Amino acid sequence: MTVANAIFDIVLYIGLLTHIGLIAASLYTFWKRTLVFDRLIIADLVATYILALLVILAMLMPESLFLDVGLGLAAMGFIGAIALAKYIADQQMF
Amino acid sequence: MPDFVLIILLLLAALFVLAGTVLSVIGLVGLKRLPDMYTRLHATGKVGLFGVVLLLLGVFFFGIYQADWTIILRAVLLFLFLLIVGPTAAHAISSAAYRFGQEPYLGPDGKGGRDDLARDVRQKAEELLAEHRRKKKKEK
Repeated sequence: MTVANAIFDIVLYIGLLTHIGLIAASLYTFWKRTLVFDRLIIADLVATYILALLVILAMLMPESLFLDVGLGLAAMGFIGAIALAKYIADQQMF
Repeated sequence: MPDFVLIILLLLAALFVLAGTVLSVIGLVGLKRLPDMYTRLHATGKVGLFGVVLLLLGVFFFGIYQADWTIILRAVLLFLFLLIVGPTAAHAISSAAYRFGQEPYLGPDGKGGRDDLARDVRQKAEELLAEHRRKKKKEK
């Protein structure tokens, strides 16, 4: 029992650190790339990585409140991505 | 529940968390290495669908292990929401890029692929133009 718990905790910490590193790397790529659609894709990607971070934290604490926060973040990221894409393509929001 | 079932649930959750992390890394590698905006979008769309959804499967098994219904229900809700939202956002971005005039990558010599959407768009534009001319003739 304790061995399985230890393995689970180690895997969660590995996932947490990996996602933090991935967020840093994708922000560096955001800085380097100049094409506007690349930046849009990377913004969407960073929102997804933060959602993954929240999901891992919900297992680590364990606290189901983080999943609620993740649901709100996913909804806002979706609306933001679609609004920005439409704004760039049509030069107007609505 | 008996002890070995709990151990198996925890190990399954750990396995899914590991798989989701690996797919997240693959998404960033694709973003770094692929030649074209559309292919990069293809690579990063995998993170939203498979990376986070596999993590949520891990949360599902973890909720069964904890016997906590609030965690299970929220995981299923987020799972279904992501399955709808991820492809929709990717499609919106790629269609916006196409309307903006972003050229797809067609191989190193520029002849590797084909652009079906351009043909469809041209066909539709020609039909609209023919209809417009017919209407103008009638008015005269």
